[in-house]
Amino acid sequence: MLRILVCIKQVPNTTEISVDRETGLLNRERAAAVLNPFDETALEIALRIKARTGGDGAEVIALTMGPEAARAVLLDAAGLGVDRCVHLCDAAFRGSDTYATAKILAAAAKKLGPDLIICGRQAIDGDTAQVGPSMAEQLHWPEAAYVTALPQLHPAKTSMTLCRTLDGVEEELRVPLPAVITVQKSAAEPRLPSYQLRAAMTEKIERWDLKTLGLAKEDCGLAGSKTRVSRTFTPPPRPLCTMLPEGDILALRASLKITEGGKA
Amino acid sequence: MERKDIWVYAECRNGQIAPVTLELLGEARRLAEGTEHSVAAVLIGGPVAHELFEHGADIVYHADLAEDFRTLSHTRVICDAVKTYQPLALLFGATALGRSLAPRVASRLQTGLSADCTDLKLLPGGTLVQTRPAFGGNLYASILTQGENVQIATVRPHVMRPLEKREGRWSEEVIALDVKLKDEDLAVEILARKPAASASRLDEADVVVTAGFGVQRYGLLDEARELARLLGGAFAATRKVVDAGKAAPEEQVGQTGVTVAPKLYVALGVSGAVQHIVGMQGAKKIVAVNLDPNAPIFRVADVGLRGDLRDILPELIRMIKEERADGAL
Repeated sequence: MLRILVCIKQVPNTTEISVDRETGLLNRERAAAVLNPFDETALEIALRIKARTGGDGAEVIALTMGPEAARAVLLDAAGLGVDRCVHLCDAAFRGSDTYATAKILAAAAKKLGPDLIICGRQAIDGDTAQVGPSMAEQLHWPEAAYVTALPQLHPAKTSMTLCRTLDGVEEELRVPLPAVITVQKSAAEPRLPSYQLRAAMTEKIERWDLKTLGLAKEDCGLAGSKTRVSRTFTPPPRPLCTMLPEGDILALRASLKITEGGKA
Repeated sequence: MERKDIWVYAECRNGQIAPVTLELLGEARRLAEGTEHSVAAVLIGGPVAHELFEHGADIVYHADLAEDFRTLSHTRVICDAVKTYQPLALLFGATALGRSLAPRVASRLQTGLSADCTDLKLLPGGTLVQTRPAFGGNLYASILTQGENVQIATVRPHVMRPLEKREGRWSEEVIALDVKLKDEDLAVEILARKPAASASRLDEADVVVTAGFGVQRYGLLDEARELARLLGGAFAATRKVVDAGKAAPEEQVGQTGVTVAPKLYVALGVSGAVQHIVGMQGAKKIVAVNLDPNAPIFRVADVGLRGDLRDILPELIRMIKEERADGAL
């Protein structure tokens, strides 16, 4: 049986994130938490590969690391139709950078034994796009990032063909399994969730901690991280917008000239 | 060996050095100013490009590898070189290629990596302070690499300035790298490779003209594309326009699309949803035209015009064309 692991993340809903103009601080707490939009696509790709898999079929497992509340995104994944949900939850995981996060996820992957791991291109809070490739390296697997369409699994299920675009260059790759891929938002339109499927998973989410993964505390969190944030700050607010008089297209034209160089 | 060099990974595309590589060489030069650190480019494949020296490299570490880019083979070459020559820092462009290669390299070397930096500082003693936006630019974080290993960062294209071509004499040292690939480095097979359908690279454009729903609604997409062409820039669209099938996914600016930081960003009929703003607020100058005076886009724009694009856009295009015609006389 083909086993597909999808790594998903709970992120703050950025539509609700705002910067307080008075204090310059981020109103992060007010933002609701949602499933990272790229991960919806990753789940969709996994479910479509499963639907196309003949023989003894496929199993799709959703995996997340995060605090108690992060189980909500596993329920979202369940609503889309994944077979199994695993929640990595331990105080020791807090503060992990991308290296430590990838190490923890890779440890879970080793236990689950997937043939394929799918991640979203990046999470919209950190925007690093690093965890997928880092996990592949720590597993000693090949990876393909920025995949733009549904991969074609070869009949023997030992490799797949996929398309991706890197900086204006389209590539068609044959990637041996097991492998890690990260997907673009445009790779597939996610399906609508089913409330019944979601409800059915509520009691079945598996919860793993440090001990389950067999990791040491020093491998995780701040201790296991290779980077440290030395300070954070909010950027100075942009100066107020200069509104042109209505109908003054000449002024608009002039405002476009600055960078146009010799062309204007 | 003492860690001394600041390395820049020389990204190549269709045999050309990527613009971001020259930007990074310029930045590496500035970081090295007044220190004993040399600036080096790591070039894999191709002939040694003279422009790497012209734009600030003291040394080019060159691997003679006659094949197209593959993450695993480049990872092997870079990691072997780092182990041999022990650089202080290694910079990649935060392009799709750089952002997929750098995490592999950093993880193999068991060192840290910061993504998409917009500011770098070198402290006495050699600590590289890597500053990057988070939460779509609402917050900035300065990041330090832990431990004694090489400090690695990817740096956003279009943020650092390349040097003017150097005049005069300088050393052009080329150091040949040992290439010892293993079978596993060639595991991923390239079946085909060609330029993508939408050729213009948004993240490298100096001018970006973006069509929002306000453009689509009035059927002015062709005009928006024409304006982009006239300004020598790239056409882009908001998610709504892309979802409607009126623009390609590669043309989408915003959180789930491309992040851009051009010199000039022209937002036409773009209301300015947060998911859009985070993809373009790094632009140096933002000019917005919108019917709604309360549109959030005006909160980030430098110059705004309230009005109907059906009147404004054709007139603007006519005006520019007329200037060009006059200029040609």
